[in-house]
Amino acid sequence: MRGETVLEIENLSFRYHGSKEYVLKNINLKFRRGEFVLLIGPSGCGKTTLINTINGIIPHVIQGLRKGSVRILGEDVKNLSLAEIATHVATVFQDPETQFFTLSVLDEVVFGPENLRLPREEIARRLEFAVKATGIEDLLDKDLMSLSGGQKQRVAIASAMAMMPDILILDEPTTNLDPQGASEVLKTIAKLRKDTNALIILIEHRLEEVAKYADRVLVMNNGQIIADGPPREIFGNPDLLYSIGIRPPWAAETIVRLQNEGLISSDEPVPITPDEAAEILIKYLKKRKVKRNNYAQELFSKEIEYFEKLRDREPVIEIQNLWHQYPDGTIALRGVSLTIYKGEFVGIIGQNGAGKTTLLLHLLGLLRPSHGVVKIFGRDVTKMSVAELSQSVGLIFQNPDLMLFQNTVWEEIAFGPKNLKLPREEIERRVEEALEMMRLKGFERRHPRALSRGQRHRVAVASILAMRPKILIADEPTTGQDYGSRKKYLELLEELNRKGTTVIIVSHDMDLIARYAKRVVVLRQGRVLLDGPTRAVFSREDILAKTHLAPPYVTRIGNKLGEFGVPTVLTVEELILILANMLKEKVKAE
Amino acid sequence: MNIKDTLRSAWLGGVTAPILLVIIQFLSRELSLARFGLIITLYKEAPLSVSRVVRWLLISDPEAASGVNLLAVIIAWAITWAIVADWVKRIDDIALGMILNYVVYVLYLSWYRHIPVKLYFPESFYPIPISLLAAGLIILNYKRKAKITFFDKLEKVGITIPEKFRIDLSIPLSCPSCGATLYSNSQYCWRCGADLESILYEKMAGEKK
Repeated sequence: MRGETVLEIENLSFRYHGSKEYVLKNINLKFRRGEFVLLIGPSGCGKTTLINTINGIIPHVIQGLRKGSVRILGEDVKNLSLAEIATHVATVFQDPETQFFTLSVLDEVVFGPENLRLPREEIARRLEFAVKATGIEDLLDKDLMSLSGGQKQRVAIASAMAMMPDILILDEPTTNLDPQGASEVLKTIAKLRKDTNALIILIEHRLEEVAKYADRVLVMNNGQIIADGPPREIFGNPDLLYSIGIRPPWAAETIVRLQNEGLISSDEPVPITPDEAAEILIKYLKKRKVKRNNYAQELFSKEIEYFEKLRDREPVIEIQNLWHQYPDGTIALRGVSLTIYKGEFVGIIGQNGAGKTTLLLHLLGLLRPSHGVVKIFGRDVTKMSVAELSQSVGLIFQNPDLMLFQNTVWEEIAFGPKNLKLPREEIERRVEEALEMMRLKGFERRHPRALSRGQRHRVAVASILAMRPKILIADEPTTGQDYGSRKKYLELLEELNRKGTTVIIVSHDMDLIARYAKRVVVLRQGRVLLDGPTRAVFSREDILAKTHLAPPYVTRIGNKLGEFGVPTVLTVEELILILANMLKEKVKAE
Repeated sequence: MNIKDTLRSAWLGGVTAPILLVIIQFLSRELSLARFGLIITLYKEAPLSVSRVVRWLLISDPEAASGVNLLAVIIAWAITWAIVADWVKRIDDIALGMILNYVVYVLYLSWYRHIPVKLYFPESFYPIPISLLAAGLIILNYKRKAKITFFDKLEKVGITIPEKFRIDLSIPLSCPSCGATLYSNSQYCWRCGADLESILYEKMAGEKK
């Protein structure tokens, strides 16, 4: 029955075994059937712990001290077995492969109901329901391993839905997906929202895409629920969200900031989608009869000048007609010619399979070209030793933990220089410099794994910096991090870039690329689709659409206002500044 | 000539030839080639010394200068320098490496082991032209293979790559439509959105032809 209380959390506090600090602090919440709840908060605020108290992992698998109660349909999860909880709660995690048990889509979807020993007819009914709810009819006869990331996640959601849960928990289901995969999953979530009567709790960083589906938003920080309300109310308070490292949807922030400046009436509802924001803005721009202006020209001309002058710099990476065919016959790169110059900050974007990783592996000398040449500082990579390359190019992995294996931060940073067989004094000097640069002084004797994710990232970067590479490559540097951590990390790369390091980031995060990269290279099917100054690339929505990419939401809002002379904007600050100037001018004139 | 490659040749040749000669001796015994009259007498139920192997390789031992023994030594030399050629790929470096290798063997016997080195004419000199011939054949084969491009290989499996994607471009380029500088062979111009594949690369491929 829609509206019935399905989950009730009362005075819930929890601390892990061996820890003195409570991760959850006195949480009181009630959820109704059919509600779509968006749970947001910075990394480490307790979101995953909270959902683990709902799906029974706490206290049945993970031990700790739990106070208060979590009741599903009136029964405390503490008193239910995991099998009983599974009939009420289904969880979908970030990586769908971690929850697959079988090899085919059909087997996977019916695996749960079969384990409940349900009659054949009931299993068939549930299969039909789950398949329809998630729209995976066309995938049923496929092997799981042949599916794309987005399809796998949709199958994981279908498997969860086949349990006909009262509560469906989706824990960052799009984090590991490329834009196309994420869009498929988000469409499935939208369908679920419409077609099911379950309580859906979604944890997600992509607020733009999911905010419109939510009935209610819960904001968590430091183990507590600090705000609980409808999306328009929560996103109408961007300062609160920024204070805990969460970025509100650009649409909401733009309008709220203009409302605060008195340029838009406070009676206007807080928009959640770019279309809603554009509608309000067009209304005001038309009402005040703002004339076309040349903001666009001013913004563009400096960037174009910078881009055109790059040719005067020293080329650091020269890729000439690079082809790469893998042993299985897949041609991953199809004649890429690309030059990157000293001191550039380049963003490389593209769908999975576009050739981004293959390109990076060539820069690191880990793959040999099937045809063509890759030169670093004028030298053919295939003729450089690993030691020589490591002094020119440094790669920061997506997951910093893959790079940390020493017992102390100091040893971790010294590992690279030691392998270069540098004199002891030089090693010490480099480590000290890297510690200073990454603000890691005082952490020298700490175990790298005992640090926070942000600090571990800094140690990983420091260990690369100690090798003094002239080119720094970051592969998906911010996956799974909240806005605050992403911003800090990218500011760090920006600082290194200012000091002369050439930085290349490969990412699906368009906001991040738009804000920091000065040049964007778009790859599609092993070729360069588009390459130019960031603003110019993101102004070409039509060309980007050929590879199912879209500019950041804030850019899309700006692009919708093109007829009023609003240029392609890259950050919300830019958009607000431009709109405020346009609207203020008119107010003065009036 | 590359001094590094010469030294590499001498080193690889000097180490490989003795090993190969011993392997040939081992195989002849294991395969009982004596049944066919192919008797190699390098090993004679006594510990085999390095100096004996080197004397055989230089054909400074009268036993090595005739019949199957001479054939075994020549085969060891030829295979050795074919291996070296596969690595070094330059005949001048290989020839110099071979001479250096000879000198080292002679010095080892005469100066280090105080064994007089006596050469037989023409038997002691047979291995040199035959080894050079073997190395030359390997290099020729390598050069023939090198002419088969990646695109030829693709064509063999039925994938034809249009000329516009094969040509080596000199970056930076200019957009023929708006003059914008292009730092890659992108499909579209960042400034005017022109389809460069049809208006630039195809034209350049045509000009190249």
